[in-house]
Amino acid sequence: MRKLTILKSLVDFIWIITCIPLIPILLFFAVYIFINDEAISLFINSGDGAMDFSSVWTKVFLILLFVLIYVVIYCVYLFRKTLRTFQQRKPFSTAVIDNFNTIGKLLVISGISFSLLVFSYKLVFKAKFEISLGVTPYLGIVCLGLFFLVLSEVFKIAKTAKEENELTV
Amino acid sequence: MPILINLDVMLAKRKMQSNELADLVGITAANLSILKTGKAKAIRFSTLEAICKALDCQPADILEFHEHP
Repeated sequence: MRKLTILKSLVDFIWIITCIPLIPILLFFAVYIFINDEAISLFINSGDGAMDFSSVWTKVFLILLFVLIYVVIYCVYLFRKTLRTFQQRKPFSTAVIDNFNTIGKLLVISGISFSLLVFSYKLVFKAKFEISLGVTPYLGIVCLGLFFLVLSEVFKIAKTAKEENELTV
Repeated sequence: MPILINLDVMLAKRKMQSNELADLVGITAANLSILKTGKAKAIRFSTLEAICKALDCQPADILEFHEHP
């Protein structure tokens, strides 16, 4: 179980160093971009400087981005919770199956939303019609989400097999 | 499940206690209770053989098929 301890430590490290500070920071900026338009330049690189930061669409785009980041943070939280259940030696509990299912669905949704958001950002703000067909990080997120969904199904089958084995006299 | 377990009837016929049968068969009283209450999903041939030997009966005396229980 040393591998599980290492994984749990790494996820805890990511949670403490990245996720916890991000929650109030993003919340702060979600409000601050409506007060000071210049704050948007911290998140969006306009390049030629021709971008209109006072536009409502820019703010809506950023808020959607923040929401998606919150969704990913929630996935990390659920994964941490699942690892804790593994440490308690309850790998076939309903909570694990439900958590994997939720993580999978959320990651698939956020992966697709991220790619749509970036596509629309390039189309609206940079007037560029760009479709990436190669390996993109968003595709990776969708694949990870599908992997978690498959894992949830596998755990469901394993739970049924375990119950049947326990009820064999 | 359409398979009914008539272990209670056989125990009453043989005037035997559940604990006694569990000891003879070599399974726990809890597992025998699972079998008696019909919660069991499967039964090993070895267990069935031991029960039949202990109760001096046939598998058909213990197991019954009912399409609509």
